[in-house]
Formats: sequence, C-alpha cells, structure tokens
Amino acid sequence: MRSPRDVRGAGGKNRGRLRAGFPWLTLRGSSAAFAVLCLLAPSATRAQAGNTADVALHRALELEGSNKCREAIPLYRQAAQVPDPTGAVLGLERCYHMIGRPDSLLPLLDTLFVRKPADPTLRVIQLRTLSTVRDDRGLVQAFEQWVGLDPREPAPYREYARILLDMGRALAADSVLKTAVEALGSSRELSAEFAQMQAALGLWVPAARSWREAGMHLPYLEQAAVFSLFAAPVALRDSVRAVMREPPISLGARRILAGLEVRWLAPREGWAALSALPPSDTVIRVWTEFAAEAEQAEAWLTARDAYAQAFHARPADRGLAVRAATAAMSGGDPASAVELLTTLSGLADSALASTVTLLRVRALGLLGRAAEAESLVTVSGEVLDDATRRQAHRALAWAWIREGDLARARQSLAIAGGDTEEGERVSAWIALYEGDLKTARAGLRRTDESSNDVVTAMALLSRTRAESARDVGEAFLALARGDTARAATLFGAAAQSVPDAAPFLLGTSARLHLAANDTASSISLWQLILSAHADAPEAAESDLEWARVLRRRGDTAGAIERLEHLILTYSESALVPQARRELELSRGSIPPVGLASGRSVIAAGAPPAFKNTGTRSQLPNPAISGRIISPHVCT
Amino acid sequence: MSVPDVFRRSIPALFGLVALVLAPTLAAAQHLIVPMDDEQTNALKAYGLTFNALRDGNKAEWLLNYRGGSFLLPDDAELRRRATLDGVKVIPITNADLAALRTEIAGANMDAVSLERAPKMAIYKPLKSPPWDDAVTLALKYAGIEFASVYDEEVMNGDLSKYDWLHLHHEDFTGQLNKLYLGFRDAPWFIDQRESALATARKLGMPNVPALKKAVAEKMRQFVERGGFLFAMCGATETLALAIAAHQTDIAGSFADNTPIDENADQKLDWERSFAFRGVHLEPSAFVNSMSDIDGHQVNVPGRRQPLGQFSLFQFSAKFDPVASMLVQNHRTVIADFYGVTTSFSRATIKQGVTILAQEEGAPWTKYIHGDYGKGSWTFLGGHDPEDPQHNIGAAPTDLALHPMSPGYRLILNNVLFPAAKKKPLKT
Repeated sequence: MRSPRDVRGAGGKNRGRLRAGFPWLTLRGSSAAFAVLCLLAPSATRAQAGNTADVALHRALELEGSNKCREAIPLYRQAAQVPDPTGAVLGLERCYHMIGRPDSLLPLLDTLFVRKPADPTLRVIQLRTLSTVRDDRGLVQAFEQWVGLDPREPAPYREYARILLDMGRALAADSVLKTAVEALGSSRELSAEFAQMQAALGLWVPAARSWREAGMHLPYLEQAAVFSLFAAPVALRDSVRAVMREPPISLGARRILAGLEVRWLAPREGWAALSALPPSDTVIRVWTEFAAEAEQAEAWLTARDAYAQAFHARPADRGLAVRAATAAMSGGDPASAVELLTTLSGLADSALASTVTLLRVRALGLLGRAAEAESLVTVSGEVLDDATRRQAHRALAWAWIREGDLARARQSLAIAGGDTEEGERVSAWIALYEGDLKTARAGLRRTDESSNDVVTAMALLSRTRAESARDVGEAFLALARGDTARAATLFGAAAQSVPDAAPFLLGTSARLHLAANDTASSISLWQLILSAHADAPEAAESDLEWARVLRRRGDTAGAIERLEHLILTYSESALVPQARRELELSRGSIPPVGLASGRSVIAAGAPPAFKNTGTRSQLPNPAISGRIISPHVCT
Repeated sequence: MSVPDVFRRSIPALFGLVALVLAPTLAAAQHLIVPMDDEQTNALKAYGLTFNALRDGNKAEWLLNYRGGSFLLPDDAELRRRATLDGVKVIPITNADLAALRTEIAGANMDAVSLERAPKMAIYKPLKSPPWDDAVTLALKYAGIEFASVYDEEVMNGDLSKYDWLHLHHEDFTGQLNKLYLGFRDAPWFIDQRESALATARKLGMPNVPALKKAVAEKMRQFVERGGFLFAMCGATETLALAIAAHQTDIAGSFADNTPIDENADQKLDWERSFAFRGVHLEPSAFVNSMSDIDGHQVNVPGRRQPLGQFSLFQFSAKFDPVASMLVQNHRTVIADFYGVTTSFSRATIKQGVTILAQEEGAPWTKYIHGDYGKGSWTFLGGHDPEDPQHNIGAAPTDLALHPMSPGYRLILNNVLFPAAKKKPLKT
C-alpha cells in the first residue's frame, strides 16, 4: 500500500501545475487520497483476510478429502474467522467426528454464538454434537438457549425434535413438540416432525394425518412420508388409506398414497388413488411420473393405464401413447397396444412413425393377425428405414409362426435378410418347429437369450442325439402359438419317439399341465417318471412339484411323504435344500412366510413394545387438539 | 488226561471259535457320531435328533468338549433316516474308532456323559399364543422336540409335578404387565391381556394380577426346590426373582393392584428365597420401563440404555463340572449379544455361589448364569432372541432354517438336553 508520502511524490509535473492554479487542491487531494486509503484499508484487510480464509477453507477441504482430518482442522478453524463460518464449522464437525473428538467443537461454537447467536445452522450443529457425545443435559440447555432467543420461532423445536427422533427418543420428541404447539399456537409448521414422531411410536393413523397435512404445504416431503408410513402393519394399512382418501381431495395425499401402494405391492390401488384427480398440467405430470414408477416396479398394465390416461388428457403428446403401448406389450396385452397405436395416424415425425409401425406389427403378430401385420408393413414401407423394415419383417416372421404358417414365416425371414445373427436365430427356431433338430441344435447354440422357451429348447436339444422328430417340433410350435394345453399333450406324446429325452419331455408336459391347472394329468406324469425313470434328474423334480400340489390342496401328510421320499432317495439332488424347507413348512417347524410379529413384549432400542392389532391406541391428533398423552417424562 | 484238563486245554480253542462266529457281528456293530463343530450342517436339529433318540428308548452320550460337544448315538436305520431328513451330519464309527475316541477323551479336558431319558418339557405361556413369540419354543419347534404348554391355572392346579423341565420367557411375574399400562391402557390388545389375567386371578381366588403372579412364582420356586429344572430368559429371569423375594411385600404399582408400592420395599425383599440375586434396588416409577437394577442394559430406558457387545463362554472342567460344561457346549466361544426386556445381570446383584457361565469382558454384567436350588437347578440367559438382537416391533419371527448353526440357540438347547444326563454333578 502506498503511504501518503508516496502519493505526494507521485505525478510531479501535474502536481506542479495544480499547485500553481489550485494549491489548496493539492493539499486536499493528498488528504483526500489519504482519507480514501484509510477508508479502504480495513476493507482491503478484510478482503485479504477473506481471501486467506477462502484459501484455508479450500485447502482444508482438500486435506479432508484425502483423509487428513487432523491437518485440516487448524485450517478449518482459521477459515471460521469470517462473517459466515458455516462451511468451516461443518468441516470441523466432520473432522472432529472422524478423529473421535466431537466435543472439541463445542467451545468454538460458544465463541461463534457471541456474534451469531441465532444462526440456525450453528445451533443445529451444536445440538448434533451434544447428541453425539450423549450430553443429554447439555442438549436440553442448548435447546432452551435457542428457544429463548425467539420463543415463536419453530426452528429450535423442529431441529431438537428431529435429533431426539434420530436418537430413538420418540417420546421425548413428543414432549418437545407438545411444548412447541403451546408456544406457537399450532402444529402446522411442525407437521412433518409430528408425523415422524407418531410413526416412530407406531401411531400410524395419527402419523398418516400429520403427513397428509405436511404434504399439503411441503410437496417435497412426499417421499419422506412414503418412507415413514411404508412400515405400517398390514392390519392398519386400510386406516392409513382412508386418511389419505379423505375429502377434500389433496394431490399431495394422493401422491403419498400412490407411492405407498406401489411399495405395498399394490400398484393398481396406487393408480386408483391418482386416476380420480381432475386433469391439469400438474396432474398429467404426476400421472406420467407414476407410470414411470409403475414400470420400474414392472406393473406394466398399471403403467399402461396411467400413460393412456395422460395421453387422453393431452392428445398432442403422441409419445405418451407409444409409452402406453410399450407398457401394454410388456404386460402381455397386445390388444390394448393395438388399440392405442391405431389412434396415431399421420405422424409427421418419421422416427416416431417407425417406432409406432414396428410396435403395431409386433402387437398384431402376438394377436395372431399376421395378414394384417403384413399389410401394414407393405403400406408403411416408405416410412420405415432399412433397419426398421428388416426388424418389421422379422417380427412378421414370428407372426406367421404364431399362425402356424412356417412357409410364409421363411419368406418373411428371407426378406428381412436371414443371414444376420438375428435372422439365423429365427431360422433355427423355424427348423425346430419343423422337427429338424440338427439344424436347430446348430442355430440355437449361439443364442444368448434366456427366455423359458429357449431354455426348454436347448435343454431338449442337449438331451437327445436325435436329428429329427416331427412331433417334438409340433409340440414346440404349439407352445409358440400359446396353446399350452395342446403343447402339454404333444410333449407327453413325443416322449415315445425320442426315448433318450423321454423323462425331459414327460417333465415338460407335466409342467405345462400344471400351468394349465390340470393337476391330475401332472400327477399322472410325475408318477410315470418316478416309476419308469427313477434315475433321471426329472424324478426329484417330480417329487417336489407333486409335494407342492399336495400342500396346496391341504394334504400335508401326502406332501410330507413325497418330500421325505425325495430327500431320502435323491440325497445328492440340488433340490434337497428346497425340499427340506418345504418339509419344515409342512411340519410347522418354522414360521409360515409373511407372518408378522405377534405378542412379543420386548421393544429393544425402541419405545415399549406393543401388539399390532386392527385399531391402535386412540391418541388424539395433536394438530387438532394440541394435546399429546406422553407416558414418559423425558425432558 | 482228566476231563478237567481236557476242558482247560480246549478253552482257548472254544474262545477262538466263539470269536470267529461273532466276529462279523462285532465288526458290524457301529455307532454314529454327531459332530457339533463347523463340520456339522445343522446343530440345532442335532439336538432334536438326540432328544428324540432318547425319547424312543435309545441310549446316547454327550461328548463334552469333543468337537464342539458332539453326541454319540447307536447306529440305527431310523436315526440315520431322521438325520438325512433333517440335514444333520452323522459319521458312522466302529467300536475300534470308539475305543480310540474314549482314550482321547480320557486324556483331555473332555468327558462322556450318559443321557438316559428325555425330560418332560413344559413351557409357561398363554395357551393361545403362537410358538413364534418365544425363542425357546421356536427352537423346540424347529428341532422337533415336543413340549406342553402350561399357564397360570395349570401351575396353580399343581400340574408342574408332571414335568421335569420348565421354561419361562417374557412373563412379568410382578403382575405389572411389563409396565405398559400408562402408555397403552387404551390399546385393545392390552385390555385383552389385562382382563384375561384378572379373570384368572378371580377364578383362583386372588384379589388382583400381582397376587396371582406371585402365587405362580411361588409354585415355580417349589417346583425347583423339589428337583425340577428351570430355564428362564428375557424378563422372566428378573421378574421371577423379584416376585419370589417379594412374597410379603407389595412391589406392584398402584395401576396394577390399586395400592402403592411399599415405601421400604428394597429393605423388605427376602433374598434368601431367591435363586440368583440379592441386594436389588427396585425401580418404583411407573413411568420408567425397568423393573430393577438387576438388568445391566436397561434397554427400554432411553437415558440408561447400554449398547450391545459380545459375551464369552467360560470353559469348565468336563470331568469335574459336567453340568456347567454341558450348559456351555458350543462351537463358538464368543457370541454376539442380543437385547431383551432383561438383557443381562448386574454383577453387583448376583449371589455368591452362582455359577457364571458367560459374561461380557470388562462389563459390570453377566449374561448367562446357573445354580442349584434345593434338589433342583435353574439357568438364566439374558435377552430375547439370539438371532434378533434388536427385536424391532413388527419384525417377522426368526426363521431358524436360516440359522441352523446359531451359537446363541445352542445355549438354549443345551439347557433342554442337560436334564437328561445321568451323572450327578461333582462341583470343583
């Protein structure tokens, strides 16, 4: 910094002229310059100090990132000497915790409170630190100090209650929130904390009410509400649902309910909660987001309905129709996919048009409407690019397979270019359906698909050395055409013509009969396998599946007999662990699946235990009455 | 040569002939070892296999400290069948192998204890409650060991004399229903429980639930005194002791019996009658979910709760202290701790002469204790469920098929089997 002398010495010529004309200006100019410098000096000092603090903070962050917390601490402390020390103090909190000395932060916080007594972040850090070191008395005092600064400020109550909840002290949090209601006059600002406290105490219905209220004002808490209420026992879920559905209809409450239903494995109910909402831009966005969530949960048909409803409300967004159709296809409902896609015509976007055409061809193929699909491919030829056209012809090949017309399937495949990897795969399938096992064996060996049909086909082809078997082909074709009952019969019959794979074919037939609910035929086949092919791998599976059928029928003794036979006869089978588990369930040696805890009285690490029944304790909603019955005096 | 001479000279030949005839039979006579170390695939069901072998009239032996406390069973087709069905590993051995094994046992801190007769088991629990609430009934169901259920009426009618072994779990014998009244007095399940207990009390001529439970506790004390075996876990350990000591003192809150707790209750408790404890300080407040200072962990008192650690089993002389040895047989020495309404037993409250079977190193509490009382004996194990350390509300019951080698559950099953032992213990 230049001294006043330096200023006077500078710019000599001008000074001379000035002195001549304006001698008082020169003196004043010097003084003014000096005064300006004096004014600027503290700012410059502060600026320099701030820069130093910034540097210290950045350096401390680097050291902390390299796990050098002890070296970072002095730099954080240096960085805390600025008007806003938040970043530095948070860094100190982390570092002191890492080295096991969290209490070392407390004296610094006391110092900082002198100049920033009501800083909420510093206050929260203090409460967190006191809870970490288990200084319960200090925690109470710190809270009381904070509240004392402004008794009508909700933040102290909110933060203290949250910390108590994190410590598992839900009853103490209850007492704090009760005090807050008395001081603030209402619980509105603290509805989320009430909700969490009530959920922690197992008061699910009051918690649902509190979350509903919180969701009205703070939409970002919806996920927190879902997470909190998800643990509600099965017996109380209807009560929670009733709260969320109460009038007036609240978007937040409905979103919470929809999220819960997806997690409770009832996505259809979740959609029912949202579908009743009158459409608006916000609601359409909610529908679309829900549809995506349903897709994540593989609730395809629910996702379809949500996308479809969004599309009907916003017909200009054709992409919604495509997503709905895609979800429909994934959910095994090509008919609704066709219906949705048919409404889309005259698409200007060629990429979208290609996608729609391909989807329609696939859907029509699955419905067995191959001629219609072929006509569509012909008509849409100009719209489709080469790659999509080939895909469409391959889809068409599958459509003809499902109609049972293998010749036309080959024609479509030829147009698609059968020399690609995908084409070769389809060709191998066609060979299988024609009974040409040799060609099928060579072609399917290279596939990386893992569907049930592929696994079955490859298992058969590896079990037998036969090169051709027309009835095996017919059986697989029946399966591809979705005719399970006919496929089951054909597989059973094919066992005679392919003796080296007979147990496999009989086992497959039994499985298909079971899928078609024809347990009598399944049992006959299992009996045949166990008597005529006792050494085959399918024998153990037959015992197991037979036992499962008997158990479902309530014939526990019969199930036990089969399971014991399996374990004793095929003790090396990979199915023995499953069989043992089924045996234990049949004998009642282990709890049935999905059983909730009953009478248990212990509540280790939580409030005292209680039994979950249909109606919970009738504690009033504090949001309504402001009173909470707290059995424990904790603060 | 005289006839006696002929006879004398032919004796060796005769013996040889007999041995030749019997040799195939002798060589085929086999036994089954049920190892209980890490080679075993299902230790919990191994107890059931042994117990049911005794029940069916077989003899068995418990090979203390040999491969984790293995069992020796006869080589029987039915036992092999059950072992296969249950997934229990068994190893057939010949007599020669057995002889070598016995030599090994003789020369080490091991012993072979004969197990004579399967004890008759009773579990004290409300008759309608399912077996999944209680770690012991879970273990017995899983191991396939039969048991009878008894509750207050059966105990007061003298039915305990039909049994050799009695288990208690989380019953509150002080009659205060685990002090849940103030928090849950309006809850339907609580009202059910209380009304049911009151109805039984009235039926048996008692004025209130504390009086009923004290009377039941007294019957249990007499059961042990007369030669019974008692195994208690969780809150039953502490509350049984308090109820027995308080046979002439009111220690129940007024919410339970409409009279306040005796002001000088601590001084008036008669610890001479107690199995395990002395000098205990009662927790008089109805607002504090704790019974006394017996429990070291105080899990349901937020300000006092202690964190869980691990506990170590003590080793005993198998030859001179077979009872204690039996109770600690395990393939692990250090076991993760688990909470219960009563998790542990403060050292300061334990009587002299009580055998400490396991404790947490450096902690002022013990985990597993045993002692004699009259002609019988008792064992207390703190905690609720060894494979559910926190036991949160609403959690599914423990599926022991997922814990077939649980060291904690082995301690429970040690208690089930040890009353079958023939030998009278010789204490060090």
